[in-house]
Amino acid sequence: MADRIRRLELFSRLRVEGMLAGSGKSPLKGFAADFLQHRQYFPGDSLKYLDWRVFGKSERLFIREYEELTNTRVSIILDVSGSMSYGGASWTKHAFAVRVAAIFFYLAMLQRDSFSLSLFRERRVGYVPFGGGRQHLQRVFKALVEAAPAEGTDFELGLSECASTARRKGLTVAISDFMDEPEVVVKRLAQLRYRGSDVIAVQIHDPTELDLDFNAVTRFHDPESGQVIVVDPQLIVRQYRIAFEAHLCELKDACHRHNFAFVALPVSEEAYEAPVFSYLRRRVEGFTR
Amino acid sequence: MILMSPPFLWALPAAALPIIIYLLFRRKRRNTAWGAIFILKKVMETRARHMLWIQYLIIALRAIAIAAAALLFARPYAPWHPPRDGAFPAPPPATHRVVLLDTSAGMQSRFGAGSRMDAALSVCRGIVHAGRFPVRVDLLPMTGSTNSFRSDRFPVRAERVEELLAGCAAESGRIAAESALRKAAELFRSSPFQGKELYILSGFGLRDFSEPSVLSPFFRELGRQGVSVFALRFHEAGARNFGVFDLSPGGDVLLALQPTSFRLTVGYYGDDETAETRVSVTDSKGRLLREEPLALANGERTVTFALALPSGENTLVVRLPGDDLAADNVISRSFSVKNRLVVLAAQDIAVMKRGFENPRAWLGLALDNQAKGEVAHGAPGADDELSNESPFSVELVGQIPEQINAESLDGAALLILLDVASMPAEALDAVNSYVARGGTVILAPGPDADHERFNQSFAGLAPMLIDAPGSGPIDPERYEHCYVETGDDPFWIDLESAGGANLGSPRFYNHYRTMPDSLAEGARVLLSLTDNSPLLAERRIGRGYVLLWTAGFGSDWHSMSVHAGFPVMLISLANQALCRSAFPRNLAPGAPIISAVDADRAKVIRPDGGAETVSAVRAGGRSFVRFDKTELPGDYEVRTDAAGDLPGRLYHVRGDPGDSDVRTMGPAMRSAFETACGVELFDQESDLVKHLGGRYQGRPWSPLIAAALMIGLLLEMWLSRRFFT
Repeated sequence: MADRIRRLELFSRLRVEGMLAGSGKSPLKGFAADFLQHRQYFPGDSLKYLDWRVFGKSERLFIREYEELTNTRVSIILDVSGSMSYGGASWTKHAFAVRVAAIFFYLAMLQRDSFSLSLFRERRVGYVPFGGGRQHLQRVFKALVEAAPAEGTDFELGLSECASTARRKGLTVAISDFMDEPEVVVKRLAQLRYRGSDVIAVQIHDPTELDLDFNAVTRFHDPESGQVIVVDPQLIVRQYRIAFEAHLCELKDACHRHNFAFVALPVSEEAYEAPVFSYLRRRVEGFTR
Repeated sequence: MILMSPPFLWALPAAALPIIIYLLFRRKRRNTAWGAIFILKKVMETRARHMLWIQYLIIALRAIAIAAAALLFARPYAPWHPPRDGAFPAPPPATHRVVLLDTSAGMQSRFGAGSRMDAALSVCRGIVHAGRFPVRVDLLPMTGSTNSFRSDRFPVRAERVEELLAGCAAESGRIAAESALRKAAELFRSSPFQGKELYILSGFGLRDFSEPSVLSPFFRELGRQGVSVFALRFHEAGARNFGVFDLSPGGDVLLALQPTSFRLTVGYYGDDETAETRVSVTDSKGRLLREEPLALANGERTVTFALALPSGENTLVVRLPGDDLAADNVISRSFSVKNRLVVLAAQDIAVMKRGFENPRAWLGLALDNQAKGEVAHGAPGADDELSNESPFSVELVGQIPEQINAESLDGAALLILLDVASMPAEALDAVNSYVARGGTVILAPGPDADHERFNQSFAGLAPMLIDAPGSGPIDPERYEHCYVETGDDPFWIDLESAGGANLGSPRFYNHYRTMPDSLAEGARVLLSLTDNSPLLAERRIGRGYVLLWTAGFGSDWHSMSVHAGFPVMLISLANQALCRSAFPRNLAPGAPIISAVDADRAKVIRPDGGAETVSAVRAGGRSFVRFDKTELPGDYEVRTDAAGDLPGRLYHVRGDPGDSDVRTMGPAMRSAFETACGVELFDQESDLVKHLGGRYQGRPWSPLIAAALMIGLLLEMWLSRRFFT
């Protein structure tokens, strides 16, 4: 267990540091910075923060000062239902989701934000309260490592219970495969948005789930309910792919309607962090614009 | 349904392969956990059952496609059905049909409600109308004509069809089967069409198809070209036809009221061996001259009877009752009947004797007696009219050789040189001209003529050269008789008979011998004596004739002069001379019509009603027109009036008995023909149509199957792409 926690920590650290090395600037400032005020320029100040628009208008040099958002409350809600146990050639969805969550937690720790973890299936099955620092990160990683996908999913009850802990404004990241009616899922997440929290819905799916690439009649087992469906995939492969894409689009549309972000992440060993990081960069740019 | 390649049906079980493969794949089942069961359930609820049926449809289309492909290779055809309404079967596409149409006269004989030609044209019409592009139909007359009548644009208008049929039917004539088959083979050789059919529509007459070995090489050649040959015969059981072909007295110039032997050639052709008919002969005024029943066997027969006609132009019409072919039941023959005969007798004054020692006395006596002969009567009822007619008269004009010139010879039917051994050159020239223009000269040197001088003078005229007389003093116990050398010459056969001059009866005690090998080119011996010596020889010079009588016309060397046959012979010779000097009016097919005219041109009316204008040419001080296109038998008329409307001079061309022969091949000959030529002969159009049906394959189903296969495959591809990719 400790070994797994260390590996998770190492993984997240390496990924985050890799992002930092590749980008050339601190994600901290970019991630959690908000404009505070203008002050007069003094020689020696970094020219990067010169407000050239003000100079154009007034011909006077001013520096833009930002307020670092410290103490942001980052809440990660992770789906640990049976459907997350599916995996194709590489990781399972659960393993991938854990790594994504680990990256979020490590970033939050680096920014000295407080962060919490909620696990849900048919209801909330695990909770690590808000905290910060390395020790809290260890606690969260331990909970991540110990969690195993099983049983069914009830987004309404599970998300509701998980959302109840986010009473203050912050950032909530919901990581799941969202295999339910989009409106049901998004309604609960929207509640968090309406409370003032920023919500990011991260949909995890395995690329093989999208293809349904089977030549023969197949018995599909539901890992949550144990139900077996026998079907000739050739009969429905096209309609299935269309339905899957439509489901993702419905989720995305529903999320945008409620004004929170939606990211679809296919499970991949290689560059899975790139979509995470590119999204985070977009978040930062949105803050600093 | 007919299958051209049934072994390919063994591939039909392969149609089960798609089903087998489907079932095999369904047997293999995988087990897998699935994280997106939610999506799967949604799809299953709405589309799975629907998609299952579509998959069944696709499998069925694949199975049907394999079955259709197997059937396609088996080449199915719908069974052939005969066309409705009695139409002629349409040929397969890209077929060249050639029809050989018998356009001989025999095709005008009765057949059913119409004629054989009507029935044949009806079949032709059906063949042409049955054509569907791309097909070519050629109609060829079987006469050997080089014309063909073609249609290769289909469907063809009714007017065009009739135009083709009429054009082909108008090319009438005798069957020339070899030429027609050769022409057909040439057409097929250059034909771009794959299918080739030859139809022979004919009566298959006995005369024209009696030598199948002659035609078999042509049929073999057609077989090598891949031509299918069909023969349809037009013949009704019990068909029979009588035809009258010629009425000839031996010449076209007769002597008034002189009983003349007429030869009537009639024919009977039918399935029965014998038949009876009745013939009637009428003259220009419609008087019935003769009527008699005739019993005839198959073939031609010549009947002889005597008629005496009054002077003038006379056209006799011979009629038979109506039968299967009416065109040959009537003929007309025109004769010029003279009431005056001029015979010029020239005698050498140096050897002229007196009384009955003079041969001219015997001539005069004989000619005078003949002219006063009884008038022959024609048919009962005509006696009153004929009794008012005068018989012909003979004028014997005596001259010496020095008096002979063109003027004295003009109008003379016959010139007899009695005991003339030589003549002045001018007289000889006049005689030569007279002969060349059609005159007849009898050289009759008697005992007093010098044979050497004779030969010297008449070498250019005489049929033979004479030598010294055979014997010296006359021995009444030693004599010869004469006989006719030209056994097939009806003129001499008549004279030889007892009813004629009875030439075999007189006795010949002496005569001039003839020099061996002195018979002139083209000359012939007409009468010989029983010692094989020539008695009468004939030579043609120009349009005329020179005869040599080697026994003289006196009574010195023979009893001919006192024989009753002597005047008969003389008159007959004079009559023959008259006939020969005139241009014939009763002609063989192809013989020219030559007519003296008083105008620059004449209009010739043909038997088919057509007319041609012919320009006259001058010869010997007179104008003549010549018309050579007399292949068509029947009556021609030469009109010389300016408008060509007034009746003119009639000429008659004899018909060919072959045109009247409506008999067809008997069973044995038919079998020989079918075997030698490899052709089956049909007697009914329905049998031919049925036979064609056995050869035709009906409509192929392959295009339909191929189209259905293409559509099915396209549908399968669309369904697979639309629902399963």
